[in-house]
Amino acid sequence: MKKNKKAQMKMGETIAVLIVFFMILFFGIFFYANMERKSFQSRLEKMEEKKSIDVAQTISFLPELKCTAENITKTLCIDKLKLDAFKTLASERTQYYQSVFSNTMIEIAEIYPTSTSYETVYEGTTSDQYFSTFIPVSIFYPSPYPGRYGIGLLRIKYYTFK
Amino acid sequence: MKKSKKAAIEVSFNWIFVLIAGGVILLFFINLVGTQKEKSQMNIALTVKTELKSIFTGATLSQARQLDIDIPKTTLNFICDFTTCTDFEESDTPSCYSEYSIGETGVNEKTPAQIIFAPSELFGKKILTWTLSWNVPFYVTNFLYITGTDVKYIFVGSSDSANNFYNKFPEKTNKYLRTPNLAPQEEADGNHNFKFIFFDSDPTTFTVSDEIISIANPSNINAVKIDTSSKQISFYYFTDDHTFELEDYIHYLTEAEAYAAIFSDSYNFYKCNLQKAFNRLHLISTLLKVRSETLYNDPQTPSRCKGTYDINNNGLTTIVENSITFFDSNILQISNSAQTLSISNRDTQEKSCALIY
Repeated sequence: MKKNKKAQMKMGETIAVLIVFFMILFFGIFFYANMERKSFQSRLEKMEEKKSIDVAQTISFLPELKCTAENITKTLCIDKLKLDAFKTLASERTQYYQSVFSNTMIEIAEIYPTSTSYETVYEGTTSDQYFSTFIPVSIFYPSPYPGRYGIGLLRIKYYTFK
Repeated sequence: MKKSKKAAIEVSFNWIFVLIAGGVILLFFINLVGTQKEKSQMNIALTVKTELKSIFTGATLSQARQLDIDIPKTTLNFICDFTTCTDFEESDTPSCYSEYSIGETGVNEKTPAQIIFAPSELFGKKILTWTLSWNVPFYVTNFLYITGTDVKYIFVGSSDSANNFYNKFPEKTNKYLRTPNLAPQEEADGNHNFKFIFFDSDPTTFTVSDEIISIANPSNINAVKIDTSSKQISFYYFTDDHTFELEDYIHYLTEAEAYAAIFSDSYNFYKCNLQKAFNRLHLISTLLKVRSETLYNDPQTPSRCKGTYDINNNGLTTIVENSITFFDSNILQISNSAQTLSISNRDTQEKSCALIY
């Protein structure tokens, strides 16, 4: 009888050790999974931020807006006549530019010599959360010849959806 | 006897229990390691995809720039299918089925509008990028060319055209210039993709060396012939008889397209990306057409300038109409109109008027 009880106690000991071991293991997995989830969310946010920079870069180099002289493109310069034509084109080809810009709003304001409020150049799908990028640009008015330059600010809002 | 049997059963039971419990724990950890390995590979592929996307975006925006990029050792596959392409007549969002994918992870990035010329498969730890602007005659977009270190480019010819194309080709690529007599002796040198670029000689009579044939798949050996006098590119594929057969030919507008043919693995891939380029051309030319009309109708425009802004005479209307679909006949129309537009633009400069582009 005594030996039976001893064996049963040993068995119980082994089972208890296993239970504690698995409890620690599951606790570790739970903790690790939680950490991974947070890291994944942070990575997603970084990806969205990177995407907003890519879109801002694409827009600031857009041939539809850039000043050109023959084949020479001028950096950070927007042709006013092209800008006006682009507003019409973008509203006619919304779906095409949606695939290029994703969920973006492009606005421009002249700050010198005259100061104007932001006018919308393109508006995609919007939401409450966005990344804003501001790009100072020259605005070229080609007419009347020889044309004149102003200084403007391009504001690009990249909207994110959670 | 009874006590002995009981002890024997107890000991056996103990060992069985240990084996089962141990087995379960071991299986659990093996599963965990396997899952983590898969997850890690996916993580790497996703990181590579995100980084490459930014790199390609940046590379596309800079002109005439060569970059070499170190990546984890992996295979990049590029797909672009012309048969899936739509244009502005068929759709408001014309695009083509095109993407690049990383290894066998299934991680891919769709590129419905990006214009990328690359071999269908690149393997290695380094990729090379090059951009050229496409001007028709106004700036439309940049062509992004991508290649790897296991692709060999053999320029066959001794004419000025051959030399020019060879000299302008990126330095860091495996490029070689050979006369038609020496080119058949060209060796593999550890490469797995081979591109022959002909200028004067006929590719159908060319003999590829046995070493290259033994190393490369027929789909990884191809050729183009560039005729700079008639501005025509001919595409050839490698047959089972170890000869080049003509697939098709098409005219080109600028050198950027000729280089695009060199970087593309097949005619289908080339056409697919040129259709995307045409979609961009259609948009930019439409925009310039509206701009030109605005200048024409502007009361402040001097009468000496009005003639150059007439969209029916300066070539813009023809370019808009012929840039919808990528066809050989459209290319020829655009070529003529591009010259007219270029002359009109120069006229505006001479007459002290605002430029058309």
